[in-house]
Amino acid sequence: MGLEVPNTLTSLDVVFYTLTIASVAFFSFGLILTRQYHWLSYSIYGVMMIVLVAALDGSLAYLAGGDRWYMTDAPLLAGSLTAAFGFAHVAYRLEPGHWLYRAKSLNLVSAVIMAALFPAYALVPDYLPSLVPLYATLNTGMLLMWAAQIFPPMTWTQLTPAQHRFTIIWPVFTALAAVGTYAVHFIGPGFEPATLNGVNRMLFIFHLGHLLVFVCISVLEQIRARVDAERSAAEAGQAAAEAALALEISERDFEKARALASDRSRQLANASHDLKQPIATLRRVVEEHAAHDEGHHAQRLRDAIEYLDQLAGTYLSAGNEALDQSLADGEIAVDQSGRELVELNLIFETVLALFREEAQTVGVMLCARTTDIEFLVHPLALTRAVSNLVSNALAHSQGKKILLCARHKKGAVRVEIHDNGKGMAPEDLVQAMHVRQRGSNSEGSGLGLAIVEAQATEQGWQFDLKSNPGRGTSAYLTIPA
Amino acid sequence: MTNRQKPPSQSLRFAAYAFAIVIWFLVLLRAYFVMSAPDLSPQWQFASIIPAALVAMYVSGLLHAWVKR
Repeated sequence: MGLEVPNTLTSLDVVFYTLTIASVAFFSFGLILTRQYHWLSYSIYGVMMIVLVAALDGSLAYLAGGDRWYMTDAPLLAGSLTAAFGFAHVAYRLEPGHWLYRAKSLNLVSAVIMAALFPAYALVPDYLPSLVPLYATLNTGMLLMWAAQIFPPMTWTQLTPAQHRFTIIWPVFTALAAVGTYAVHFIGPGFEPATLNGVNRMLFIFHLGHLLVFVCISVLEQIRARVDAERSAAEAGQAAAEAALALEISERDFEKARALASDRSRQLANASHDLKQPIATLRRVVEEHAAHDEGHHAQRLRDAIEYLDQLAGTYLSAGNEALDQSLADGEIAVDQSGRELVELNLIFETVLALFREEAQTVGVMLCARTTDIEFLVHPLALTRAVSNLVSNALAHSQGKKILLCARHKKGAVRVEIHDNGKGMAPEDLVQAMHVRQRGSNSEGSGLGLAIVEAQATEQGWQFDLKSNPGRGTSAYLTIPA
Repeated sequence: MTNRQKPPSQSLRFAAYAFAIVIWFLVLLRAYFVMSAPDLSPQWQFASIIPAALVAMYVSGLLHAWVKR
């Protein structure tokens, strides 16, 4: 500390004070504009630090017109007040929840000790004729206080881990620079007062810069969190509105589907009714011819007619009520393309019932793996496709077993029909997919697979056929769920 | 993030308090030698002891806060 009042301020002094005062002012205006008033204590701290530096390097005495009080007592007073304010500021800015919050009272006690330094000098000047003990205590306390300034940012929970690390690394580098400078100064040859003053100012800029930058980061994080909260509230409102709209639309669709299903059910009942008369006629004709027949064909015809009659009767009587009931219970959903929510098991059972006798006759074990898959599909189209494939397998595969199963595959349902028959050669497989083509050693009309192919294309399904000569053929219908 | 730290282990707590006691012991030792030095004026005695006590107070206070987290 030079005790001579400087004659003038150098351009470096002017630059330094302009820079620091402007930074603190800019920072304060930013806080006021964003209404983050609780951070303004950092502005006060910055101003006090600038006054302290000015008191220590004589700039304050120069500005005060050369009064020696500003060279002797003002640095002690400014240092005492700044250190006291700094410790109190640390205690005030620590956030609860972090272990450093427990050091709050420690910082308050330190603040009281620092604040007591100047009155101690003023009250007992005779007992302490030299300023040395006070300055030694003040400098020690000031260093502790600067170190303690890094504690509040460590407790700010809104900082990211990277920012937290930087919060610690920056002051550690500043402290290392300070320790290095003073070690060289005291142990080595020593710096000129002007050099030391410059180093002090650099350290001060680092220290204040660290605090102001991290306050800015913290403020921006808080503002961003507030904006995010507002945006998510707005998005939640929009999502609620969209959900309400979707509910409205699905209710309307349900009404439409109910009307459609009821229409179809009526048509089915009418058709069944219309069938009654031809069936009766057919039955009569069969009975008339039965007398001249050996009985075998007549019995088969009788069974077939009985079956038709039963079907027609079932659709006619039970169809309407069952369908209406299902719709009322919300069990059946019908969409505009005729798709319904269908239990795949039912379709398998239907197909098994259709082909059971024929399979028994030719000695093939026809079975289905039970599945719980339920999905939107055109039931009649699927039944036709599966029936065609089973009929094909029964007619041409010459296998001992036909298995129906299904599985979920990449968001779709894959219905599989496997047989363990003779299989097909690759070239036959390609041909089999085309209309009116059939395998080279097959006696069928060749229409079955082509019909399935056409149906799959119409319904938007994917139809694949894989065959292993001598081991069997597998047909796959991949239906988007 | 920062407020979910588990408390230090028994041995670390012991080490922390032992460290604080050692610091205070060194301060007292320094005070004894400084006070018994015949050629040192009172202000230099104060200048030697008070800052050291201040540092010891602050460091041991921080250690206590860390142990009790």
